[in-house]
Amino acid sequence: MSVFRQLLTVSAIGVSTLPQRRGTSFVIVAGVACVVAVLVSMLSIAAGQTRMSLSGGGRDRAIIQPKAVTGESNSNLGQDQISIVLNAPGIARGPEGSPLADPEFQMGIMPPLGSFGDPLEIRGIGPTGIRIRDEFRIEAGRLFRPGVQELLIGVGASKVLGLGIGDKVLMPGGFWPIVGIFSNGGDASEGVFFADARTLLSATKRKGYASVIAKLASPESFDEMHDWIGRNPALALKSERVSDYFLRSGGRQLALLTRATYVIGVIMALGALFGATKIMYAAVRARTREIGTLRAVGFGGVAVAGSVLLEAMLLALIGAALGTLVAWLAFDGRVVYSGGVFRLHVSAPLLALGLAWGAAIALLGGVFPAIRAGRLEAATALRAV
Amino acid sequence: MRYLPLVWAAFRRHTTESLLTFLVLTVAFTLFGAMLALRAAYDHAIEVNRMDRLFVTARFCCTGLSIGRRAEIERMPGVRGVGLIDALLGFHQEPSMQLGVWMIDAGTIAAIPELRLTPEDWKLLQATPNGLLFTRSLAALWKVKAGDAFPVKTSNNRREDHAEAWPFTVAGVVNDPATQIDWMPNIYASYDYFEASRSREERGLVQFVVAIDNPDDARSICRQIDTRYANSETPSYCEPLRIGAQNVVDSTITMRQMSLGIGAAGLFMILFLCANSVAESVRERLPEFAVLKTIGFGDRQVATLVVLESVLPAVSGAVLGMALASLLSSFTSRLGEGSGLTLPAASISGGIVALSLGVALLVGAVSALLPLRRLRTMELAPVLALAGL
Repeated sequence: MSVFRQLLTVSAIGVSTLPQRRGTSFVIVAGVACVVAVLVSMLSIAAGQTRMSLSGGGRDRAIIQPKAVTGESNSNLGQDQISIVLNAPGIARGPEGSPLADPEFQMGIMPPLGSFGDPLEIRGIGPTGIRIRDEFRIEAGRLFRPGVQELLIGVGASKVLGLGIGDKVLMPGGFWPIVGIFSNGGDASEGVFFADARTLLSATKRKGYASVIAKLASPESFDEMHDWIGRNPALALKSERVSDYFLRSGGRQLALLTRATYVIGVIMALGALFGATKIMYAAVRARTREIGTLRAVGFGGVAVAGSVLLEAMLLALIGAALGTLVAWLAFDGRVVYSGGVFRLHVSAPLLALGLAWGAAIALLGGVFPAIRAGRLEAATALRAV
Repeated sequence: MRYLPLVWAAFRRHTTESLLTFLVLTVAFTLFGAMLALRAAYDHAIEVNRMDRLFVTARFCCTGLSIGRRAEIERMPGVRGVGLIDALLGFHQEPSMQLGVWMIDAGTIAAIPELRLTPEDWKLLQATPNGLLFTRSLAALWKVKAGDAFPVKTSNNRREDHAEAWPFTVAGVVNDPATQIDWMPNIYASYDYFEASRSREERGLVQFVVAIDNPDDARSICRQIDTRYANSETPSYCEPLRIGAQNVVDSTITMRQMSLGIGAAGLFMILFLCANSVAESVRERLPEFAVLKTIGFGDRQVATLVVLESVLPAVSGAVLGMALASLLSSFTSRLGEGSGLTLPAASISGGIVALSLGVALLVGAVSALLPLRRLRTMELAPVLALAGL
């Protein structure tokens, strides 16, 4: 009998005895499930935010801001600079030849009198701003009218804040009604309000715009525009793709969170690994008579060792599948707010990572018990019984 | 003590497996301790922001409050003093070297004593109008000393001369604050210099930090301030610093929200292993327990032995786990980066150690429950007969 067939036979015998060892088997399944559920759940935050940053037309649009600023909230872009930027090569142009670029800004509005909390984010955009967002859709209601103090709310913000059409928000100059709910391909802007930029500028007495959002002639024309802006001595501006900007904005804290997740994942995996090793040692001990008999009738050490590893792998993969399922059921699609509204995403690569994590625990945890099982001599094993 | 040799013998029965169980317990309690310490660090970072300090800014973006309101707020009942709290944000030398400069005056120093700035420090700033005061820790971080030029490039506060760089000089190095205000930088400059140099249209517009007598009055004084200016051209927004810090933590996903869940998952993981190990050990040693009972050990004594076999590894694992968690926790301060919070290195407090030991006792006791039931109902004769005794 070939080693492979021996392996299959011994493994089948091992698996058939699992019901008799269901208590110990469950320990491996539960341990690995805990590790993988925690790991995948935590990583779904970064996956959700990354998906949000890359969704919509973020690769086809660029954001141009002053070099010194860290974000749009503390940025001021002069009209003279905007005029120059609009002539940059690489920016798409409409049928009438005008550049498809929109000076915009984002600002915070503090919560109403008597309450404390995070500011509501309002983005001032112009008609071109709507035009260059190909994914922009009015889901309910209508668009704001130019010159009128009206708001649109993103679908994400609407869900998190519990606001909808007809609700009013205290703004400079009084209460502004929400007249529409918009979606934008699932990107970060769905977590904010939109208002007519000129109306908002005049109401807030803001001195200027914060950035220019430009539609690129093609995703590849970014470099041309980027170089031109960088080389122009009249401009102290920087440009980046909108998707990169979103990734960078939330990136620092996310990077820390992701790093912490892997540290926790490794610590928990270490616990599960020791646990799996202990359980597999106990399993080998419990099956000493069976292993001795198998060796006596001619099964090789490699087949016996391999069967122990396969059994550990099977139990760990069941645990990992259970862990990823729990994480997927509990977190996938859940709308959260973390510096922006986005949905947690238990992606296919995360599911694969969870299974791989479980398999690695089984492999490392099962190797020493497998070696012990493989080295058991028939006579010694049968004598020990 | 008389049980210890028996417990030790049980541990030595399958040394490798016993050691592995102990390691799992240690790892789980390391994680549990580290997560509790991390949560405590976040709570501490919120607590250090004082409830008797109020931040007052414009309710709507892009402007400040008139500096004339300072005297009006100072006259309100319960208010001890009002400091200016305005910052220049920018970078030094390269865009990656981000920093902020806090504009202060003599009133700010008097109103916020926890900054530990002295009238002499203010005199230093008056002697060098474009001077910067670095706290000791930040001076060490930026490697600066008195007399160094330290230009700061910014775009949020435009200068009247349209220059982007502020030509600061290091005027001196001062005390670190007793209590850090989280989002404020600890590099100080003179508000008078700032006011004289910034663009004309931005002059006279500021934000305030208000010191009040009684932290319990924080919400009502905030309401008074905001009500007073509700119908003005620039309504105000007042918020106690501690509530602001709490909002920062609540508004982003941080390790704080997840810490308890992770700790609980770690414990859940060991509960099955611990219970299984004790059950297996008791099952394999039924004849041994039968012999003990035959020679006169009562139910209570056998139960004590089993509970000790279960509890001792759990408690030892918890003790070693706490020591390892203490090491791990020294790295947690980095998790505050980017969240707007200054997170201190977490530490394992007496409370965390006590809670972990309590959980270890509980895990040990719960793990022993089922095996104990089995031992209590055990018939001696068949067990001894089957064991050939």
